[in-house]
Amino acid sequence: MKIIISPYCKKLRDGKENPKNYPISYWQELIRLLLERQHEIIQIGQDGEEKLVNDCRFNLSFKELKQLLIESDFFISVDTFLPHMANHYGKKGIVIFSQSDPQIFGYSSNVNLLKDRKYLREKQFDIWEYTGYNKTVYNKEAFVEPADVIKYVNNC
Amino acid sequence: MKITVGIPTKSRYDYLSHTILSMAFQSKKPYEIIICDDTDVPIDLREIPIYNYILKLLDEYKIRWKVIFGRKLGPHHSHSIIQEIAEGDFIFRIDDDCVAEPDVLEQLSLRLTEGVGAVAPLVLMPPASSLPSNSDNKISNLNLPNVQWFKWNGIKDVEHLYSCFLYRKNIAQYELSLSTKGNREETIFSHKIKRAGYKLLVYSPAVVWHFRSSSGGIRSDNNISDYDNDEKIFNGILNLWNVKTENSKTCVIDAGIGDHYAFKTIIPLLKKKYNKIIIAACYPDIFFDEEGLDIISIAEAIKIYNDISSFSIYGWMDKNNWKKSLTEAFKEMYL
Repeated sequence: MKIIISPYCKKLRDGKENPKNYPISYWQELIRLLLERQHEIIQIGQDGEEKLVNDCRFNLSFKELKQLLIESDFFISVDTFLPHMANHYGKKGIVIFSQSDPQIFGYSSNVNLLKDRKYLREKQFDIWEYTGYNKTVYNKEAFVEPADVIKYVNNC
Repeated sequence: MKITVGIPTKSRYDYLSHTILSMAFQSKKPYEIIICDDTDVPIDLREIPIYNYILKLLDEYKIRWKVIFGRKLGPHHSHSIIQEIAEGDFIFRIDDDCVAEPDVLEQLSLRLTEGVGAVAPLVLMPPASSLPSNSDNKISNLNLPNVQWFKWNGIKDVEHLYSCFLYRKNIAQYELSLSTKGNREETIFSHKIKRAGYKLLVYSPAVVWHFRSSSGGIRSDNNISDYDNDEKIFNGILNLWNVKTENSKTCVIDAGIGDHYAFKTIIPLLKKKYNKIIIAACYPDIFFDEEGLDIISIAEAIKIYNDISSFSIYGWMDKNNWKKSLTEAFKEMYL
């Protein structure tokens, strides 16, 4: 299957890791599992982001992204713009959540993977740069593991 | 021409002195200045050294002055009190975060001729922009940019006025049913003058500078529901006046790309309800495949509304302790 991955959220203005970003080591393991299963993976993003696969298409226009979505089978993403765009164009996928609430920012048409609601940040509508709450800092423990993600790939 | 200057004020002692001073230095001196103070714990201005000097300067210029305590019910109540007690036949209303150029009263009074009920200056925030082509002060469409907010040359005959203007006393009464925010109060008041058979003019050589204060005045609290309530009252008044509005809706999406797509999903529902949809967007290209929308920039939205914080979807969700989806939030906010 042709899968779009969107690994990164917008960089935080204070230079810190965005708490919504799936750990790179997890992405690498997930990609390995997907390639093992003969899936074609296309990474979208912006210049400067780390390339995780061979086929990276950065800085696409919204028109080009729409076309790519239409041509793909599904997507795997963190809680970034892609699930919202995909929902608008009727494309389903897997969204990996950590501290943002899938009940607010997710869509029921997708597979929304949240390890545990105990990891959700207390104030869902604060800017991510605000560090007034301990839960807003990056927490690898808040994410499901690649093996949990791969279980849902065949259902997409 | 005896002119009363009326200045409602609330929690802006840091700005108010500039306003009063600008009126003291007018080439055409006002007869009197009335300050109506709604500050929660008001101060006797004479106890503040700069004010002590300014008030003595008014005495020096033989400009009568009064500081009265308001009803704490909003600027429209203060304007109403000022109109009741003003000794002048004409009132110049100016906001407490505005500074008038020295010839404003002179310029406006020359234009307040027979048949004219009120004349307004330009009310500019530096740096001032040029007049957009779609600007107009029509009572049927308040989404259009207001002509007083931009630089241009000449004189315009309009249907309502904003903020500061010189008007004939006692032609109209202020709408006192509005909230303490007094949203639309000058629109209603000035249009009443027009409905009484007088012209409303905007005269561009007269300029007042708006040094917009982020606090005090109507921004003393963040009660967004006051704006909604005032809008209902305003729409009710328009209905009574048989004013047919354009049934347009302005949406401001000052948020991320994902938020734009979540909003985009409700566009079909907006199109069913409104004849005209104006969208101010950070990412206008997202709407490349939509037709029949007016897309403007966030900068243009700020020029129209001054304060777009009430359009923040995250602010709205936070205030409403929102637990449902982002798209549902947009529906609730805009439909």
